[in-house]
Amino acid sequence: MVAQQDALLAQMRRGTLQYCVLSLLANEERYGFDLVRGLAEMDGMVTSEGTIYPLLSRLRRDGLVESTWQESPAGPPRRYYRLTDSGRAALEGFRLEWRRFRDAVDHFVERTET
Amino acid sequence: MSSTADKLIDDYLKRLNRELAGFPRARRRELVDEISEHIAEARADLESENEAAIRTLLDRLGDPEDIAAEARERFGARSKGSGWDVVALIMLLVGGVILPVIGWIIGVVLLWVSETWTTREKLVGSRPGASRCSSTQSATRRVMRCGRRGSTTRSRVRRSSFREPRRAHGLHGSCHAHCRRRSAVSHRPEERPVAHRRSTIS
Repeated sequence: MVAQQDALLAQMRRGTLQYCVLSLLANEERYGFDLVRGLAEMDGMVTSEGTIYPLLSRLRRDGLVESTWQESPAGPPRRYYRLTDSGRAALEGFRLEWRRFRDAVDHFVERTET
Repeated sequence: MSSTADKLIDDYLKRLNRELAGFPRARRRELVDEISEHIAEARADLESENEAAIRTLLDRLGDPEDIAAEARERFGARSKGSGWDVVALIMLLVGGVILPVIGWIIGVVLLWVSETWTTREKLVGSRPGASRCSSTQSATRRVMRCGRRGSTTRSRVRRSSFREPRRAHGLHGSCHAHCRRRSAVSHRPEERPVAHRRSTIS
């Protein structure tokens, strides 16, 4: 049962992680390290930091984020990510669906809590 | 100290690069670059740099194997492209028969726009008559298998198949026999890879 639950959690995390990344970029540009640390602040969201990069690469290829090089106050230039218009639309769409889904699950799960 | 740290980081990036072998070169370089940028940032962020701190930093980043597995998962289960990959292979194998010359050219174009294959495989696949070559056949098996499995097993399948082209070199002789057999049943493309796979594995 525990193994099953772990697998379920991993699946849920996998499915929602990209929207958490898009959300972090909703109001500001961020560079990779900053983004990864932002996600890692929430317990349980990221198990190993490096696995975010394949996701970022995928989001960029799908045109949901774009990256630009910017000078850093200290050290070499940084690659900053920001949302594209279609990234913003994808995030909006997910928000609506997520609320509906969350409310529906809450409706059953919370009611039968003992 | 800094030489120990550099060595640890260097080893880590080398391992990552090895684990990502089989991805198109541009994608591999992009991932390795971004992760080494991350390491540089994290390193600059350390209060004091010692071996334990560097090891902790790399542990937080995760095992290169896990990062590569994630990359396969994110890019392996592509929705667009994979259908065209199958078309590319069919055109390369029998396109010249269906539409003389043009069919084969279409196959080559589709092969080069695809991201499934490495540059080396594309070069091999573009040679006229390459469909008789073992590398092309292993690539064929790879795509056909990926198309036939669910997304959870797909990453495992891709993983093992990434190493196939090298292994396949010793198979020339037997592959020619397969090749002749395969062209006889080429009007049923979806059945070919299964038969071929069984015969090579057994």
